[in-house]
Amino acid sequence: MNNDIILVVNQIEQALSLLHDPKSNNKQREESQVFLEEIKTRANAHSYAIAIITTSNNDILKHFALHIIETLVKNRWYECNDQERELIKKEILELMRRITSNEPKFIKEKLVTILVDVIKRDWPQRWMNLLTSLIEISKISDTQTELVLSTFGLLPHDIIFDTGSTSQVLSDQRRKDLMAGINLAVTSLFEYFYQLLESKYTQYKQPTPATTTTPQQTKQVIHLINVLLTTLRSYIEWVPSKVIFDHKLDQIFCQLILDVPFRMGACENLILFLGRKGRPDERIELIQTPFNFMENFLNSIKINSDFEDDYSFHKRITQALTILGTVHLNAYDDKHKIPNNYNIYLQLMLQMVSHPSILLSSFVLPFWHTFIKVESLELSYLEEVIKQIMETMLVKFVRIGDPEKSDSEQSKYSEIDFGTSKEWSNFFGGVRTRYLDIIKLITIQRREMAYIFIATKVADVLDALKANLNVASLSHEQTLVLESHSHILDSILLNIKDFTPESSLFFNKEQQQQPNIIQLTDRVLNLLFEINSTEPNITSFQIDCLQAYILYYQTNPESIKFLLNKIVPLIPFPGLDNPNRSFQNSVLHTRRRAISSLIGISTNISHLMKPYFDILYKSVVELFQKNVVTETEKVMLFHLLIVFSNNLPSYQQTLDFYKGILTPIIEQWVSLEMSTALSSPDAFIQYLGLSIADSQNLDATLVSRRKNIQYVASTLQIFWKKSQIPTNSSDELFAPFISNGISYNGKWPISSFVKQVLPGVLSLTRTLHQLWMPEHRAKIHPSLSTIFNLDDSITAPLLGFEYHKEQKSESSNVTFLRNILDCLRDACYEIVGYGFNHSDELFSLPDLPLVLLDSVFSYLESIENRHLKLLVKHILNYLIKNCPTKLEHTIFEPILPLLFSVLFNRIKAGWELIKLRSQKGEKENEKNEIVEDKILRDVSMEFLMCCSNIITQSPNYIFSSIDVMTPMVYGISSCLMAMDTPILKKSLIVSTQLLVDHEKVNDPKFFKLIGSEMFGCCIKILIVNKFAEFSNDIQSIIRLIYMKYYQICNYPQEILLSLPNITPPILQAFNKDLISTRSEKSQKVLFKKLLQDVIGIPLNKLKKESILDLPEKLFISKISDQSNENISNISNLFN
Amino acid sequence: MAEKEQIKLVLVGDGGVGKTTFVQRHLTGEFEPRYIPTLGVSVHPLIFYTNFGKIHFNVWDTAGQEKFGGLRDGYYIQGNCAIIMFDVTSRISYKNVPNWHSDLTRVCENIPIVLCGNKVDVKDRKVKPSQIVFHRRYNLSYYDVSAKSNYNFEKPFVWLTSKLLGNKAVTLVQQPTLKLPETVLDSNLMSLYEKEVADAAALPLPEDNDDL
Repeated sequence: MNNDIILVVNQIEQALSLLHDPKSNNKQREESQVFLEEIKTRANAHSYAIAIITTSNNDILKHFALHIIETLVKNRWYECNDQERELIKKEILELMRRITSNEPKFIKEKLVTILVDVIKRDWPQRWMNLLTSLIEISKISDTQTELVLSTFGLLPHDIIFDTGSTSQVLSDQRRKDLMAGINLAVTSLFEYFYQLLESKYTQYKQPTPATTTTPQQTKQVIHLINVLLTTLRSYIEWVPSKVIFDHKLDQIFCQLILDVPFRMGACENLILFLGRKGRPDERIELIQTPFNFMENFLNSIKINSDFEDDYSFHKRITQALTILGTVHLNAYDDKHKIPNNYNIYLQLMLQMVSHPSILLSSFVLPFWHTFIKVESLELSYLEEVIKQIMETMLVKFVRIGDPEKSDSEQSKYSEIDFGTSKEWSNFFGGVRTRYLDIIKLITIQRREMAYIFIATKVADVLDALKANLNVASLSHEQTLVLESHSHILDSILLNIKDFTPESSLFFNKEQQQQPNIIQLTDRVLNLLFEINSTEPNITSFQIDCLQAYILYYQTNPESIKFLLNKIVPLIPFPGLDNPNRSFQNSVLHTRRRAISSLIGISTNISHLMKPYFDILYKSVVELFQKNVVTETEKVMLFHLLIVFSNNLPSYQQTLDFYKGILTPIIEQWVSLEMSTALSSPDAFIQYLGLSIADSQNLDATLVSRRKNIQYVASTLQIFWKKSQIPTNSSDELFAPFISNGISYNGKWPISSFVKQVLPGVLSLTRTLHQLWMPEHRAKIHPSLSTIFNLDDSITAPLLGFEYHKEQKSESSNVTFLRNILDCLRDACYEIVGYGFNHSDELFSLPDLPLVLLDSVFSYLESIENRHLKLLVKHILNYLIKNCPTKLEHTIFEPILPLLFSVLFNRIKAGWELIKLRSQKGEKENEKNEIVEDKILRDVSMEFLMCCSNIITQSPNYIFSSIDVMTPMVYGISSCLMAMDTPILKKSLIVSTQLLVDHEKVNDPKFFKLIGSEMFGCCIKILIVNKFAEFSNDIQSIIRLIYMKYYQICNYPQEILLSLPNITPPILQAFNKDLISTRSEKSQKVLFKKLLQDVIGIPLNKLKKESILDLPEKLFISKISDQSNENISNISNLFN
Repeated sequence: MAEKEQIKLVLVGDGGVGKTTFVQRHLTGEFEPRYIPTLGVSVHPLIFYTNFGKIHFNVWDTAGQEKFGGLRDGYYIQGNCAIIMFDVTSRISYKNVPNWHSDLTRVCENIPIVLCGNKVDVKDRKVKPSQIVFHRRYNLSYYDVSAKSNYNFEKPFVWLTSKLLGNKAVTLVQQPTLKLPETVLDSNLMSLYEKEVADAAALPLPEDNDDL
């Protein structure tokens, strides 16, 4: 051997040793890698490789040698001369002949990979005797057999599925050549496979008596058969089915699933076999053998060897069985032929869907869904099967099996399949939805059976509860069982009501064909009414079940009396003083469930509840008087009463009702104490004690004030939000409200709203806005400064952390105050916003713009983006949607320029900050970064929706107002430049909306705004080319703008001339072509051709004047200053 | 496990999914937003302190792009465990996971492997949790992670340790990153404020809970 080669080989060995040594540092590794990379690039690199593989015993060194050859084959194969290629091919085969069983797996695998790579380039034309050689090599020993099988397995895999990690792609011609070669060889290949399988399996089952079989030999035989099964997986899916049937491979697979060492490999092949594409008759042929061998499937599942191995096999065999059954059900157009052993098959599938593993049982759901859907299946035991399915769904619906709790048999399997509780929880939620889909399907087809099933189950549970009323408390699992029962009951009844014909007759005692349904229902309802438990979870279960029976109450309204007698007393369910926090929370849920169930029932059957309104009203009054409900529950009870009031037949009754309910609330709201507190930040701070240090011994007065202000504001909010104004009343008191010559739908029942409620709302809003200004924030005690921050319950999920209340590190006082501020702001915004929605007296205020600018639109310079988003969502959108056309100019003119300017400035600054951050890689506070980015995205989206609304609602106004159009267009352009997929998508829609079908956009005052600014932004986005999928949309907007303006002004042309490769002559020719082009399609072609050279050009390579940038800041009008002058007169507005 | 023993962990995945960023998180705590392709391999020592003692991982951070591949699967030799990483904002990086798994298992037999979906902090997520199913077929474990927010950083390593030790009771006795200390509150006062928080948490109505 050449001494130079020996020297280099030694150097390579040393470099590899350094690379893999755990004690090496990264510098040493880097130097080694540099050297090794250089070796690979040498022209004679293959000579080193051949020297190594023929002499070395160092496995890592040999792997590198094979890597050199691999690199040569992949990158420089066609640059080699014929002699070199022949030498390499010869050496590869020689190495295969010499290799022994002691070689590590990675050497063998690499050798196979290289051989396949050569085959993909040279076979069959330039390596005609290869298959013969390989089969001869395979006879040398089992090691060679394994290598040859792996080669045969990898070859079609790479060719057909093209899943290699290499970036190289086979040419179409090369692929055809290879496929032709394989197709020609497939018959002989399968003969080889079959003979090998037969001989090895015989050896496995019946060792030769003459020799003593060692455990090692048995292990080797097992390994080889598995390699063969793996190889077959590359062929089963695509070879002609005749080849498979001729060698009885389908039967062999069904037999091998009984052998533990081979069951997984056989199962994988079965899955591919059953999933073959083909005509229905071909697919029917595929499924006959597995059905004939169904006993084997059944027995294979009974085998116990290793828990995890068994479980892995069970999952795969379940998938195979699902494919089998689904193929059968989908293979017939009309009447289904029942295959052999179908009853055994169904038993097996029932067993699998009942399996404690949530993942395994989910694999079966597609089959059962299809099975239930097929209507032409004639089985004598069909009904029984479906009942068992429902039984299983009920059991599986119970939410147990968390992998991190290890508290059940289900958890054993979840620990294997899911890494975290969150992953398991997400999966479980999805599977539950699928259970409900199956239940829905069954209910639609067999509603009587479905209802009888669940009602019987519920009745049985209730009987058990009744017999054990003295139980101290339910276990967690027992609670979950109750929850699953009530949930499915509700689902079935809802499906009956919504998706089955004549559902109103289902509980009709005269019309129902099955009397036992009525009897069963009576039994269930009587039990629900009878049982009185002190356990809150049992009570919640009862409430949920009662709420589910809305369909029954519709048909039997006399039952409502009993319903109310049962639920109303549960509102003040006792136990809030229990020291056990968990029990306390359960009690809270029970109480609120009672109220929310009444709201739900009343909303659904409001007309039937009218006779009970007085009784319910008195009950609520009594609850208030006894002070047995919390403030939160009071607000919920108000919501309940609102549902009733919305259906009062008389306007006068509605008026009287609201006066009766709201008078105490409004009296507090307009009281001197409260109105003073709302009037200024200083008074607000003093009233709530915000300047006092956080303390565990907070003054009782302050606590009371804090709770009360939230309660009052929330009550006003819910009344305003949930109530509906009657529009068709014959009462004398009702009259259409007319103001400014405009007729409104109706008048708010309490005509004093504007005078009594609105002033406080507006004052509080202004106070809250001022509170965020630096000079007022400084007045808050440092221990309370975090009330201005977002709560951890919101930010933690955004950051990917699990939020746990018990882990909060701040004082409960701080959390409560933060919630108060958020609730107050939310209430104020919604009250004002819904005021516009109600078309009430708000629009009649002569100084409405000033009122708004002095309250909800005040002090915007210090408003946070998250609050700005709410402002747009709850107020501005409603204002735009509901503003009468005649008042648009009067109301919008003072407001929209200011609002849109603020929004534009925030959006532009925000997105530029993000861009700057990503470019420079500056380290930022990550928590703020993630949360603020989301808020900015939300603000941008709300702004775009607002623009869309005003373009739709008030086109005449905005196109006559340059002061509104300017910040709006700049804002839209900022969104276009945001480089964020959802924002870009929405802004493109809004841009198109602005430009299409609006002739007024041709007004000269918009030439520069749209023709230059917006047009320039679109060009810039196209240049950056970060979102290729939107290029066509962007070009559409460019075309729209250009077509509107190019003949009447020069702004778009100037933008285009600032681009490289677009010269005046080119542009003139383009314009000339454009004039002669009529169709839109042709125009698009012209634009695409003109612009294609600028797409993707880096901005720093532009050789001409840069495209105009958006202004740093738009001028904000000084209306806010004017409004300050009128602060002292705000009370006069309402006189 | 003896303290002197070191575990070779192979980190693979498409280029640009965040492998290097992820592994550097532990060493310096700094987030590197700019993407610098890894050349060949970089080996990073990561140490975790568990109830079974000190665990020393040598993380072989490999190149994901073909042209920077170096020895490619040559780096996998003698690997004790592995992480396959993909980017949840890039569908193609998830589609290539089977290829990485195949390349890995050809060299390393029966080693524990964790699948990680990175960049879950980005809201424009393309690969939804419900779409991630590859790990279930081969009994891998899966974790959503985020180099940006440290989300689930330690969990892949804890899982791999438990697999290597054959004991599921592996826990960290020292967190790789520090948390802020919690305020200690009187239990009676806590009960009182818990009630207040529960009341406050119930407002506004659930349908508005998505507002910031």
